Amino acid sequence: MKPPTNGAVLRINDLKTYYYIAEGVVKAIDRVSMKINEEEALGIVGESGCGKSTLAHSILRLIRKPGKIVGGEIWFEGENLLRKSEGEMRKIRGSKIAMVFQNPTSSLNPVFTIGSQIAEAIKLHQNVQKHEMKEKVIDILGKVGIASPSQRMKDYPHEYSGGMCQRAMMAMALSCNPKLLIADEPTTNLDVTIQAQILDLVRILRKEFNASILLIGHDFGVMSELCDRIVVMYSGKVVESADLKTIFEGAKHPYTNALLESIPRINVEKDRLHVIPGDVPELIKPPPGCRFHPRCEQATEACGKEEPAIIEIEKGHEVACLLYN
Amino acid sequence: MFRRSRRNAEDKKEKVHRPSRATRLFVVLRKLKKSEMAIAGLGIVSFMSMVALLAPIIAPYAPEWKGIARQAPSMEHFFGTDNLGRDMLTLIMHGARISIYVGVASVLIEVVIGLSVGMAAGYFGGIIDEILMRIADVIFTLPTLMMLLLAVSMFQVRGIHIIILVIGGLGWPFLARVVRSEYLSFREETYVEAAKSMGATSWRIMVRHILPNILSVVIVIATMDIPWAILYEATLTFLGFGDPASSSWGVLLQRGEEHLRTSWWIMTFPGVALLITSLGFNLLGDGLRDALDIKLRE
Repeated sequence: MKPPTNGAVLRINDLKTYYYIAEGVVKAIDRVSMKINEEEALGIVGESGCGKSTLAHSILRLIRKPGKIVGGEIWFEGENLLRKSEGEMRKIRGSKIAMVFQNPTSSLNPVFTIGSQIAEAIKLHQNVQKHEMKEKVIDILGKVGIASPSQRMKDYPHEYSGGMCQRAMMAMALSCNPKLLIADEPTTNLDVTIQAQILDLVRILRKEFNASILLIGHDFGVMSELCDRIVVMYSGKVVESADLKTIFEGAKHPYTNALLESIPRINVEKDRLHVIPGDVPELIKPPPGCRFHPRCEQATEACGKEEPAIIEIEKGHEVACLLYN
Repeated sequence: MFRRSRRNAEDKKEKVHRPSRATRLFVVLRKLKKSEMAIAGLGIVSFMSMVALLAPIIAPYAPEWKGIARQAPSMEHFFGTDNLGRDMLTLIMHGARISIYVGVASVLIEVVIGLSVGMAAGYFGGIIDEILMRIADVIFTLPTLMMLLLAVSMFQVRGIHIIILVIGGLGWPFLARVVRSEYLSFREETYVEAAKSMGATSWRIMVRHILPNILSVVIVIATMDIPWAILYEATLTFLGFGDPASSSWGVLLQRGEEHLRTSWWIMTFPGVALLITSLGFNLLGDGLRDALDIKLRE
């Protein structure tokens, strides 16, 4: 079965990833569909625990027990990743789909130098001679903006700052020219100035390496810097997806609007910031109907009964809310 | 939304002060030096190893040289002679070769088994962990000496290598447990996940990414287990389960036992050598534990 690719690098259909724990089944990803177009930067936004990271791990099939991908399809380069063997998956990881994690300092092994770790990443997928390797490592470290890379490659991770660690991670991720770079909250643990630098770097590298980017985060500010399109997730489901401008100017889903209202804005005078009442629902027993309805200000009686389907209300703008059904 | 400065503040730190990078061994040695006990241990271990290595050159007599039997210690024979008239100092020096060899070789076997078992159990977990750890538990709960006697007596030939095999083959459970627990915690590290996301195989992650992180733990346990292996070999030999053809310290002890009333030196000096060597390895192990900053036992 060949999927309809039409320009999409990655297409996720009806993905379900559940965690089987003692208390029951946590439906961390529940029938999620989305696509990432070629050379596009897609941002996934949502509160903690809405399944963003699980989604990223599902794409690379790095879900660990008690988690399991129970259904759906992930199409990448004309093949369903969920049907691949572990060995085939390993060849894709790092070479075609690479990932950057949220803790740059702990993503690097403390007992090896930065240079040897990047060399290790290159060795996994490419046949590079020993004498060429050094140049390659220096070259890629230079590309991610490490000053004097030929010296800095001999450093251990503890000698790097957080931002430099993230640059090194980026170097590793990009060392094999991946088609898709998944960045799981790459700037969360960094200072604002370093955040900006890392985002700049991602933007530059995106042009240089022609990679699509899946950026995961909870910060609309970070997203707006980089992404072309935004997918908003809530408790394991996609609630809205649209291009960046539409999300900021014409978001339809009450949750998206509530999230946007919770951002402090410099040009609007406000005494108190908007707060979404209540907590993220427990995914073991999610509320019936629309999962957001207990916290939704516009909820009607029907919201507690009927689960809204995701529908395209205008081209490229999909919403899952009964208000628009 | 937010305007951000594009100045690369961190890149300005180009010229960092860089102390000449001491090798890791050097750092460990420097830390070791802070503890007198550790230095004493290192001294004893080096001294004994030198003696063992150079025994044929530095021993005052040939091991098969025979003089008057049971001479008390004198200027000609510092440690006296045994019941056959051989020089005790020479015998002890040659015994050091065998005893230390037994200690190191059985610990090597122990490390190979313990490391593999602990790695597999800790990294894969689940049923593999369950099976391997139950086997380790069984060996762990049975009294070691009993097991050793039983195992050695199963073999008809009592060569020194059989003894090494048995001591190493029964000594791994503790190491395996510690290694397992280390792998259990290290497999949760982000850099392990990162390595996976780069497409590294489990084997590669176990050996290349995690093992170097726990090597110090293994080194400390191995060092502290060497005297145990030496002592077990001596014990087995003393009880008559050893290799009578070898001349390890255990054999010397066993032979000296019947002459203890009349010629105390035949048994005393090999015993002292054994004691000092064990002490040396233990002190060194303790020192290494502090130098490598590991929390083990109490």
